[in-house]
Amino acid sequence: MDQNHDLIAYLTELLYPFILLFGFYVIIYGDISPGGGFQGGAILASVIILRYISYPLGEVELHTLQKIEKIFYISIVLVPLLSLFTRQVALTNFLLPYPHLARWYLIILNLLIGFKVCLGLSVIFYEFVLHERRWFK
Amino acid sequence: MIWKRFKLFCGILSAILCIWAMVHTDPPLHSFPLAKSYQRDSLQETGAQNAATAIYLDYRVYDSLFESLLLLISAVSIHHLNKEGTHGSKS
Repeated sequence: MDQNHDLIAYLTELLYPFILLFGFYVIIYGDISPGGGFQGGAILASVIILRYISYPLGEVELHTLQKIEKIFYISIVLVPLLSLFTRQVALTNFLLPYPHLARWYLIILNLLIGFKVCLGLSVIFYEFVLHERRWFK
Repeated sequence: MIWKRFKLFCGILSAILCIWAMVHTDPPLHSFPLAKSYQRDSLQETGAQNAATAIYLDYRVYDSLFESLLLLISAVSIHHLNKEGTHGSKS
């Protein structure tokens, strides 16, 4: 695909907000309904894949994306370890002493996992795409 | 030819028998004490209304950790293998 197709670009632009809304819904309500971080992250990654379909020649800074992904992974490891300070037990819900806040631990962890999976899948996709572009130039 | 068909038939028959046996022989619920305790205590112990969420974000959170680590390592390794000039010459 060497050039933009205006119809596809327009239609995918129309689809962006709905896919984003559905992805965030799946992530944020992942603790009480089917879904979760991984599934919602895959839905969010489809937005970035659609961006490639509408603008195939756009540039992406993969180094920055990977750095952000590593930061998200470190925070995914650190958030369950926070319970060492509040409950003296590692790798559990650190907000359980405050019952009205206890659900926020699940939402935060689902959001972090979702963003991390989205960045990881889009990095993998763009690596393959850029490889092909470099190879067949 | 007939022998091949016979082997295929035997395979399909054994698969159907396996599925039938799995469906029609429910193990009694008291043989899963851990599942019952998860369903009973997960709201008090983790604050999650859903037992599946309680398992994958609290009891077995290292499963989620290493699952996302797997994705991170695969992305990093694809990035590493994809660098220009690391495999042969460009044609």
